[in-house]
Amino acid sequence: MNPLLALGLLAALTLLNVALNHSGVQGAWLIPITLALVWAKGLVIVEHFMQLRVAPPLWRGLVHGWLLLVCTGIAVVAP
Amino acid sequence: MHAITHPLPARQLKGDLAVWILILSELLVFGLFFLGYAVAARRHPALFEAGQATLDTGAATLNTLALLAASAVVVMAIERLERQRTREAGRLLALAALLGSLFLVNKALELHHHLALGITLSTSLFHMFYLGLVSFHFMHVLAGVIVLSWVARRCLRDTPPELNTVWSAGAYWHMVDLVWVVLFPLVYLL
Repeated sequence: MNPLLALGLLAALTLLNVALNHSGVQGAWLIPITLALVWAKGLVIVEHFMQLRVAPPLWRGLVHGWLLLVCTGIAVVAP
Repeated sequence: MHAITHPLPARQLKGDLAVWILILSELLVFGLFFLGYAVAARRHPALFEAGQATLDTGAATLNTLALLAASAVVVMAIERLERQRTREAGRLLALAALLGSLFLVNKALELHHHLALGITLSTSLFHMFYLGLVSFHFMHVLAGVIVLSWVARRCLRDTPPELNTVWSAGAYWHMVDLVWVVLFPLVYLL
């Protein structure tokens, strides 16, 4: 992915997350959606910025595993 | 006469193995910090909500965009360096360091504001987590900016470090970015 395209996508997801959390909307789905957007942003960073898409599967899996574990853990634990 | 060719590895970890081990260790520490914050916020929802209300989300959003932009610029710089366009890479790396510095100035002002109000790590559980997480991440950005500035300087002088070193510097910077992508919504939004 072109780095400027990736930046545009990451900026859009960031602003969407801020707008969503400041819209005054409440609901059980707000935290999972927020963390799904975080996961999507992390995916772009891991695959296209860190270039782990060309790395051995072990390293790719470790960083993706961390991202998934952190996002899921926060979603489960968050109030 | 036949040229000796070395087949390129199908999959390659871009950067030094030791740096990648450091990156994984840092991710693990931040991950535990994040889960600790989430558990504490669940146990003390009113305290964390009140603390979060005192934070400047606008400045933090601007900081997020600065870090993401710096990461994209680092990718562009490394692409230039791989094509031996050293000076161009140096200018891009200097821009990335500048964007990182913007984050640091913004964050230093935010921390100074809280400290001026007499808020410290011992003020409350929320402030312990908030100041601890943000300061710890701040130190990582500072280290990243120093490394990027050093690589930029070398490139601008036409004496770039080995590509593996630049890949390592880039990977470290992206780790700092990845951590912030989780930290920002956790502390400022949720």
